[in-house]
Amino acid sequence: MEVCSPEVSSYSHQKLRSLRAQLSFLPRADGSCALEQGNTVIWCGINGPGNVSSSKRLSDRLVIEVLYKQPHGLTDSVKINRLLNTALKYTIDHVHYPRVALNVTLQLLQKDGCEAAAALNAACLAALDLGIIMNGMFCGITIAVSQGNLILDPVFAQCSSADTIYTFAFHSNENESTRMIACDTDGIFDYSTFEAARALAKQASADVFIFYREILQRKLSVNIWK
Amino acid sequence: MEVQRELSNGKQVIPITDLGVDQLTYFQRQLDQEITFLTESLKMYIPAKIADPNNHLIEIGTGYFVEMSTEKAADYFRRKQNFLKKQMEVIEEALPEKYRARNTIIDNLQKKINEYCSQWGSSGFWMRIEPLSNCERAFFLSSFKQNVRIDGRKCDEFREVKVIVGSELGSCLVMLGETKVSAQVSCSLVEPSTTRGNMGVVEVQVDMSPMASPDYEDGRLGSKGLELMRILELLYRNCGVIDLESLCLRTFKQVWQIRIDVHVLASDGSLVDCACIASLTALAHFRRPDVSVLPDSIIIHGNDEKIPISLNIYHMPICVTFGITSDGQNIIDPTDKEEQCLRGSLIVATNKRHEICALHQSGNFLLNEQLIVQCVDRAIQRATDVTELIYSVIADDNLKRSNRQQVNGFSELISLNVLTSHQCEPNELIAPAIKIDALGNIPSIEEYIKASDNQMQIDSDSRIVEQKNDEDVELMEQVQSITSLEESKKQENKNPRDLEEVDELLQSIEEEFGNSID
Repeated sequence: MEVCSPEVSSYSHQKLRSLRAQLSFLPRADGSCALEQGNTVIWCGINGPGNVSSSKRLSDRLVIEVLYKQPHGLTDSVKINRLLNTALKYTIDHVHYPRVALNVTLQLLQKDGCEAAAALNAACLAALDLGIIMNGMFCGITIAVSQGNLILDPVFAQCSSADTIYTFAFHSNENESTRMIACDTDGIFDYSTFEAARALAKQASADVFIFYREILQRKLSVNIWK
Repeated sequence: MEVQRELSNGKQVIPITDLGVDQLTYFQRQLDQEITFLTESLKMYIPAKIADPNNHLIEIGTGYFVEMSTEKAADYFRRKQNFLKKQMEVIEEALPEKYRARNTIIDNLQKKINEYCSQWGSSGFWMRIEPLSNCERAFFLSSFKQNVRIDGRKCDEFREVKVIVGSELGSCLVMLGETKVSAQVSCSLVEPSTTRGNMGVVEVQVDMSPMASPDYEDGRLGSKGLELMRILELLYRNCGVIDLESLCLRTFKQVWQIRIDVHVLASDGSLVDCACIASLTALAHFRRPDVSVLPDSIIIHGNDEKIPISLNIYHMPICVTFGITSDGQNIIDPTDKEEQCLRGSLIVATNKRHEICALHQSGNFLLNEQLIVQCVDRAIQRATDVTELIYSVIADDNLKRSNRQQVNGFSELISLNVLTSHQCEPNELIAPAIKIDALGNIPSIEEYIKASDNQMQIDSDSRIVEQKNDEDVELMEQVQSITSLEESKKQENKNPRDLEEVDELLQSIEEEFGNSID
């Protein structure tokens, strides 16, 4: 008969899973990235800016076509496509490229949770490898809530048993601070939980942006034109 | 008379179909000008009033005007009207011929343009064409004559094959040089066709990803994709690779459908070889869930209840692509640039028992019997080597899974020795505390399915997976031992006090077990 008072969970130490990436590994793609986030493996290839048919052509800006593919071909991926489209359109300077198209293709090879976040990270690294004009970087962070605990970068078993799953896309620029540009949620949650998850994800995105900087420094460390 | 006229005039008759695109365009433009000249030379007139009814100032051409009386003016216009009628008759005869010639030229021009577009293998839109220049073609052909290739191989050598199986059952990635193909096998229960109700169904889906090449477009197979799909369907449906009758559960009602998804990730020639190895390895790696067929229902067991069953594979046909030059020389395992120099290709599918499963010729050229025999012998050697490689990869993976070792699958693919790769070592963060909602305290009835570590789930999205702990295993073992003791004691019919004590022990253990579940 008594109503329980709202309890507060304890603090827990969280950590991103190990990120591994390799750039410029596909011979025919202009920009490519293979990303391993824990056991999740995803490949991204970007072609373009290139030719586009007259029906799809836009005279004032770039056309971005995002294609996300699962190992089983039939499953739809509308939500991940929408996240990727939003992040890419926000980040790529599309006014500089009128009347051309950019083909972004992502292929999920192995699934172990956080597919959307891994897809966002792979797409950003492939765009950086491509060399297109961008106004910043973006990354994806996934947080699961299970029995009152925030789990950063959950594995597949934790995703299956979680009450709520948040996927955030953060944008970082040298002028502005890190901000959230896209978000996808699955489940029922309280707004204070959402704020706490976003704060934790924002802290974790700093590690991903440092990783981007390190991998590009390593790639450009040898001057091949000398 | 006509022959003499032709000879005297020096005319020649050339068919329109032999003309080139430029000449057709020129003739079309010339005919358009003639037609506009004939049709637009008629002038416009406006109504007006006559000031002087007796005298008229008549224009007789080129800016000259003559003053005439009414009778002379009428006679002049009558003669001019007759002249114009004759001219109109001449024009009306010439104009339809001009229109007919223009339409003929336009049709031929359109055919030429369509042929030109179809040569590039695209039916409208491509992101980027990478044409082969004449210098490159000549260089490749001269290297073939010297039995040396651009990448250092000889004409009868293959590229290196890497076969990697994934952590999910039925997934495989094959790299043949720079060509990369991944295959994924899945299964579902379907109703069979009415003609063959006792056999399972095999479906092949090929995906030519734009990641592989700028020429490929999503949703369309193209010529290469269509050829690849036809060859794979020929192998898996007609060559008897899989035992289809063992996939039948209920005749004419329910059979297994095996679906093979082939994704081309990078394209550098020999797509059929790479896709064939990938799909065969995925089929050998795949396991379907165990099934209990009851009189009125079918129970499909999960991975945690029963071990999944592998497919019955009779043999493994391995495809080998032989490129054929114009001189009749065969180039084994050609790359994409080399394929563009060659006249065509011959694809031979053989297995390690020296059986020919398929022969496919693409391109337009003549083959002699000696060349085919050479290719078949080389393909049989190749089939033996690749089949051994596939079996060793599958055996190694089975050994890892049976020893409960961690199966990395496609992880650890990225080597950190190259400059373009890097690994992130993230920092540890403190997750903030959040409020637990009061409604969350109400325990919801949920199914907990226990799964051991590193064991993959089929259809596990709808279930809650919980990792097994050693304590749970010990508790279950104790419960099982106590129940077996109870049964043995019941048979012996011992004292009721001992039975009561055993019941109390069981209840306490069950309570502890329930607490550990929550």
